[in-house]
Amino acid sequence: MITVAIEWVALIILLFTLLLIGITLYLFWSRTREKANQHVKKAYIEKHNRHWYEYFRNLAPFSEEMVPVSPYEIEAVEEIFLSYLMNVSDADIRGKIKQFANEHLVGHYKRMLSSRNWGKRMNSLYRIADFQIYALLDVCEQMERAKLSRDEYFQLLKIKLLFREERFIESFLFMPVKMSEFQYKQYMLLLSPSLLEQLKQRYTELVPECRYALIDTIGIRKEMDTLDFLKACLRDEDSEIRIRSLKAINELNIRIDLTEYDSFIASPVWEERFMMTLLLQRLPDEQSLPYLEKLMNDSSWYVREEAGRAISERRQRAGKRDAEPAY
Amino acid sequence: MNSKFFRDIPIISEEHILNIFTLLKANVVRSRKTISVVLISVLQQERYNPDQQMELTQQMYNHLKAKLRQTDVLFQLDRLLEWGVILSHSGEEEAKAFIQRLYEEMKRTGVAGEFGDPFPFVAAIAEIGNNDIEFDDLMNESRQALSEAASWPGGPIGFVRSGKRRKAERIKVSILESNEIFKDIFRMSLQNLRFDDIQLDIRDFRDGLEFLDSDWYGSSHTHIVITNDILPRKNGMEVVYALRQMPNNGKFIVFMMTKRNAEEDMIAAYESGVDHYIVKPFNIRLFESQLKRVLVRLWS
Repeated sequence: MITVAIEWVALIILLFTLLLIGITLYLFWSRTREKANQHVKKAYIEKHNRHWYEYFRNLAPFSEEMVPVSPYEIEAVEEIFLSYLMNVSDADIRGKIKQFANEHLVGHYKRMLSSRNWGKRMNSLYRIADFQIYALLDVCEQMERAKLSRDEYFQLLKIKLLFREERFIESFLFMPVKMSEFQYKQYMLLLSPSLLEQLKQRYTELVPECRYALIDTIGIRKEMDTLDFLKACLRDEDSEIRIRSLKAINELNIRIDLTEYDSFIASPVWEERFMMTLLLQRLPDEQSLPYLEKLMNDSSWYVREEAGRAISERRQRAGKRDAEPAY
Repeated sequence: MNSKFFRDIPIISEEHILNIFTLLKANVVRSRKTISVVLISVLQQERYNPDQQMELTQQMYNHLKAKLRQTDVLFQLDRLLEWGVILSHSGEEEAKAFIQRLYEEMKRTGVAGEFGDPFPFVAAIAEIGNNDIEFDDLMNESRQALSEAASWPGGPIGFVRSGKRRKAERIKVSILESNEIFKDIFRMSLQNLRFDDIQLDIRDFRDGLEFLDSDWYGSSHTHIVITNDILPRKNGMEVVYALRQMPNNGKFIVFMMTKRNAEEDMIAAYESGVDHYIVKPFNIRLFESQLKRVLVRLWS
């Protein structure tokens, strides 16, 4: 049996009690400080929201009183600015936010960028993009050389795309991290037509996820002059590329030349046959019906269902035409 | 009623027009449609013998009846060679155009030449935009305007403006937005709008439930509801459904703010009872202009 002296037990209890009291006092102090800081933030918003409104709407001049002096006042300014940016599109207001951020918030975000805290660095990167703080572009470019997380790199590249697009393509092609297809798509949706064209020309240098995102984006943006590019993609060995290309062609809402696509009607990949049932619906009945009837007996339920629906619609249209009186 | 009918427009005697005027005047504020009372009088009446006066009266009735609508009222005044018309749903400008057309018509048909050239009549136009003015006062002021118009070389029309001014109408505005800062931005934007005859009574709510739990939307006032589509507890569309179920839901003018810009979303919103669909981010000046237009169109 282990025996422990009562003095030792009392000492341990005392130490634990002191530790608990210390933790409680720290939590209490921390909570009080947080409340005080939130109060500073709230007070700034209550005092200056109207001033910002009047300044943005040209009802009053800018006042130095509106310049935030503490990090919590800066948070308050961020909240005000983000409320405008999320809801209001007036170019004048957005221009004033950009001007103010470049004049008064650069130091704050620069300090945050060099923080060891990942969250602070990310927040800084988000705000640089939101408020268009071009004064920190060089700092951002220097950051690219450091070891970064995928999210940081994604945001850095987005900043480059927004403010220094002539340097975007090289950084994009040789990025040290691999993005998700969703992230690639976010870039693609922001690309200008000239950058999109450059990316098409360097298609072979792209990773598969990026290729998928590029083809999907072409469909979403309905870029009519990309038809030849999409047709070339139909010869790709990767079936995912071929399916997405057919989908993008379908998005263009054009009438296809069937001789270029008929091989997909007998494709071993059901998604390709399914896309063909959609594309066939843009052709006249005499061209499409024989193929649609063939696809009615497809091994895939999805293909049969779509082909059946297309045939039924056509029959209904034909029925209506026949029922109309001939004047 | 001491009135005689000619074609489809009855001619009301001066003693009976008071009741009709009172009814129409009371409807002005409720329907937000102005009426105009027009008096027409022949100048230098002493130039005409009794036969000519009878002939002239008949000619004028014929022309007035040809120009009036079923909703207008033609009344006979006790004084000779004077006529009154109440043009429903018409303001000063429409009444002025009516007099011009009448004058052109009489010139074209040769009536003017028959009785002297130019045909010597003057008119007084009184637009009624509130229900405060009394008929007798209106008649006195109109006669004063007639005599001023007769001596004024600028034209044959005088105007009575005392009944035109509209009473300030209280219109309720509700802002349903969960973002406190943006709610304040909206409130300030609305407070800065200035209208001569409209008083905006603005309240804001954090979400649809707070709005629907209030008794704020129960009154008969015209009510502009500016709502975000995404709100905690009850969202914007739920609010729209609830409002459109109400028996007097026509008083609500709903502005829906949303980030969704797909056509299907817009169609669904309009079909559910949204009046104006605003895709965020939007131009705040454009929104203000839309709102002003809505308020101006309340009176037409």
